[in-house]
Amino acid sequence: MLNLMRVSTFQIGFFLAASAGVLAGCRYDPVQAEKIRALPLEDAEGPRPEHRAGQPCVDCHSTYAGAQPQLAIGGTVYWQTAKGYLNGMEGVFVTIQDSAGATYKSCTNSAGNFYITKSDLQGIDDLAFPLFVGVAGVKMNSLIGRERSCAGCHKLASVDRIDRDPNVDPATGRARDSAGAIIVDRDYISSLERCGIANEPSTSTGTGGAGGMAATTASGAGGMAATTASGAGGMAVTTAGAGGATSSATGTGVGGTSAASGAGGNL
Amino acid sequence: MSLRHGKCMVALSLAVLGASVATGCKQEGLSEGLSVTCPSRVVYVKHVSELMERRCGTLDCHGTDFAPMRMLGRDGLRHAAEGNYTGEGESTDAEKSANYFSVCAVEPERVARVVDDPGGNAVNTLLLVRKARGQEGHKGGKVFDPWDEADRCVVGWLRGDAEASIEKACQAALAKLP
Repeated sequence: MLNLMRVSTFQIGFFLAASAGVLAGCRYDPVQAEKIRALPLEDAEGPRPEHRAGQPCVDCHSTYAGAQPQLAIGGTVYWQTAKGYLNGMEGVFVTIQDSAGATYKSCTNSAGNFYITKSDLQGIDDLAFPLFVGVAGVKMNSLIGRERSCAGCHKLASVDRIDRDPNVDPATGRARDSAGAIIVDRDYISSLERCGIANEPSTSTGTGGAGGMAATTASGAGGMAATTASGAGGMAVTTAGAGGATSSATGTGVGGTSAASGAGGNL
Repeated sequence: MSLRHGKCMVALSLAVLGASVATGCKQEGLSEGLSVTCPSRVVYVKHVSELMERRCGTLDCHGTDFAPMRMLGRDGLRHAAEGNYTGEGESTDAEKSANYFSVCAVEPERVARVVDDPGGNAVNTLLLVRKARGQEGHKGGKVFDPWDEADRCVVGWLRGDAEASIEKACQAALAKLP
């Protein structure tokens, strides 16, 4: 009897250990692991909202890799100097509309990074793909089928890429398999698409937030949805529907700038 | 084992390996012209390709070198031989033709069955149709609702419907995209 119990205990222990191993093995995704391994090293300042600009955010900020916060989508917006260098574009709205009709706005930070966290989704599990995206008022030509990292498709130039395809544009990264970096013409951005820039000559507009600016969109059948948002890195959500819906997010932006309408881009 | 026997075994192994490699590389027929039984190439190139490029062929879905049913086009992956950039210019004939063969090659025998019996149920059993309708596992989820404009565009082409009705359905589906 004692022997039988010992065997049973051993068997149960073995079963649990094997199960743990199998579960751990199931979680391992060699493709994703290799993508993460191939990323450049973190800079000296470490993880923060401005880090790793131009890299695929959701490779790490995901359930798989576990970096916090977990992101529903994220990317980097640039402007290009006359000499062709790319700089992070601070203080423009990135507008994301999902297939369920919800609209999200995110404001780029000083590195040009923007993101929507899973907790920003306000009660829904996930974005409904495909997504329709605009940056600083310029609509992206194609829709997003399932990629959460903008840099998954909007790739920067790299030695690896140029080695594989000599036609890769070394300045913007555009090629046969990528539209290259997301670039906006910072001289032609509507004031409604500006957000939370402290270092720009500004004319404060709108009514939302403390000294900030307002962006208003109308949608819904017979109704109107109004969203106000301000502050670098701020995010606003609008859900369209019959009769309209209203929500707001406020931040601490200093003001926007008035600019001519229309903006070029590389979306 | 004698040294002579050992050398003989090595030589035999190399001979067997060499023969296997030679046979494996031959792949008779693949280097010759392929003939497929598939619905109209002209109609696909004129009307259907653009919808599939925009709805299926984004860079994060079928618009990649690594995806099955690879799609090429203006806003997705460009043809390797033409030197175009994503998002620039228009989709070329070579890209649209490549898309045609991609789509036809998913299930060539079943597509041939649809061509032979365009009014039958065979079209509803195609992976192309079932995945798009969300009736079959599809990483991109449901793309078309059964018999909506996009579905009628693709299914109409597969069944060999009148070109005018295919064009109308495809244009209506495209109008819904950004």
